[in-house]
Amino acid sequence: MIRLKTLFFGATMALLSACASTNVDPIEVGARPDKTTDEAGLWQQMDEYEKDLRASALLERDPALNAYVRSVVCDIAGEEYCNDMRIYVVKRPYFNATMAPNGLMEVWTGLLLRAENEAQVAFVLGHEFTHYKNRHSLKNWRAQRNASNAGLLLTIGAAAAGAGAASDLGGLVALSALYGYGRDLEREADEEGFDYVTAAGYEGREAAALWQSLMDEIATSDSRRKKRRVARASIFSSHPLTKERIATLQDKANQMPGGVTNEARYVEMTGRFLDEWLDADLVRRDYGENLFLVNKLIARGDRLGTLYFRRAEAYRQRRGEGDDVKAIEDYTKAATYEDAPAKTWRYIGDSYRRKGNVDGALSAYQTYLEKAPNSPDRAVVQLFIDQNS
Amino acid sequence: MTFSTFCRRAGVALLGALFLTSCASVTALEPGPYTYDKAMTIQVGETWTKYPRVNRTKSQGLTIDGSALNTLSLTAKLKAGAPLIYTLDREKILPVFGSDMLLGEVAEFTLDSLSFIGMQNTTLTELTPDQFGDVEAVRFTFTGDVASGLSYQGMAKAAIHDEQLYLILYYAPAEYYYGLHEQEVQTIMDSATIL
Ligand SMILES: [Zn+2]
Repeated sequence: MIRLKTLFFGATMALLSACASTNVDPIEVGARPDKTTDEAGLWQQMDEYEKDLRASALLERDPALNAYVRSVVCDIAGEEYCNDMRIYVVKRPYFNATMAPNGLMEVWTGLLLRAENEAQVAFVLGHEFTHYKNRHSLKNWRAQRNASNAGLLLTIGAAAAGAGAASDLGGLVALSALYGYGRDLEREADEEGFDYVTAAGYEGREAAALWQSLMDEIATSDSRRKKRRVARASIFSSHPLTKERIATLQDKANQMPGGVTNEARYVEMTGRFLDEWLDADLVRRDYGENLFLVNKLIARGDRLGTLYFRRAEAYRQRRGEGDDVKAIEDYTKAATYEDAPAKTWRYIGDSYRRKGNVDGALSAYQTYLEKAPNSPDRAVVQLFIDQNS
Repeated sequence: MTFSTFCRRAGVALLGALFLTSCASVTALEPGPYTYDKAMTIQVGETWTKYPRVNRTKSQGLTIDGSALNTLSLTAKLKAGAPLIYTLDREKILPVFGSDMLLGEVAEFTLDSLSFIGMQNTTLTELTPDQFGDVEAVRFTFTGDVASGLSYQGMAKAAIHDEQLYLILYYAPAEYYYGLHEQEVQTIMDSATIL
């Protein structure tokens, strides 16, 4: 949560300087803004935010994953800038990454789930790095303030209230003033980000491929409103995800020699999180999109026990017409792979039990308890076994 | 890049978490028997604060020290296809109850609902057979974190009767507050019957 005092500090700073220039030079390595500047106010807000983030339950603390993501950022940004950045993997099931002026970068697990390879993630991180290096938050802040000082104060007041009510780091409302970069800065971030990534040797075509895949996913959404917004090509008000944007990246890529995608390494580094990330994605209850993601991963052919289990979970929880049949088919399929979670057998057992097939249920439950002897629901499963064998 | 339209906080509230409105008055629930919604009875040993019912849910929120510090919610007669929680954001699709759920799935449905309103890392810690009056039930415990990093602990008792869900759900910060009223909540759950 952004603290009130820092927000008001920011607002005061905004009023102090009348009409500051939006022409700012790229940030220098190791730079920290002078305390008397509006930029220092922005940094202080984000320093406060970062303090809360460090304690947050939303942080993915896995050292190997964090080191991996950091290494990708350092590859494209260079060691010097990298030293000025703190990179956090944040457990949020949405496709996103953010970059704050003070060097705080958030990489959301929803992005890592959706990217197909390292080159795609690198492109997003390069895009974010451009926002940072070119001090887009400061530009944006000044542009907004120049437009209307009074209006800004109102925004801040409202944002503070919003952050308080949300009472967690989802005080994203408060940050929208910092992050709503607008079309021109987004284009700049896309294009420069692309250059960083290809200079680091990555395949440029993956940038357009990532956006395209995101468009395809949204087309499968259960949310009619979301689909309509995409139809108007403006789903992300601050992030017009247009055909034009994709085409621009595609053109740039076609003029470049090919590069690496590092897919194998990406799959290796992220594979063990798929069960957790797809489960977390299901919290959004957008079964259409969840199934799109699972199917895309199934097509890759790796960790099929986990993935058929995840698809079964989507069907089981959706509870639509015929979903129970699809779910049991996928649980059964999952059970033929080494990496199927033990829970697979509990749900197979549940399904038989619902249908009155006691023998089928007994056998599946017994397998379940063999595979997961310390499962928290052991007593309930054992009771059924005792009563029926 | 911030796709804020994607990740805008839903106006979501669950059970206890939603009783923040100050316009409606809260009332005290004194020790003694209490009948909820003509469907469930419990025996209360301490004085609880009853939050105003939100019509769109089948739940009643109770607290002793404030909803952030302990929340007890009573749910009765929740029908198939209905969610435990509600949201102001109509784009959100909520976890819904199914009358063909086994009781283990009811526990998962409860935790899914808590995840939906923002509890992180929800984990079932124990699920055991129980009775809700004469009705077959489960008792379960769980843990979770809120985004700020504070850890929560919870317990619940659930049964399906006449294809409808009956649930008593308690959660509080693991540190100090959960234990503070754990015995009282155990007693309430032990005493619960379905009418
Ligand atoms: Zn951007």
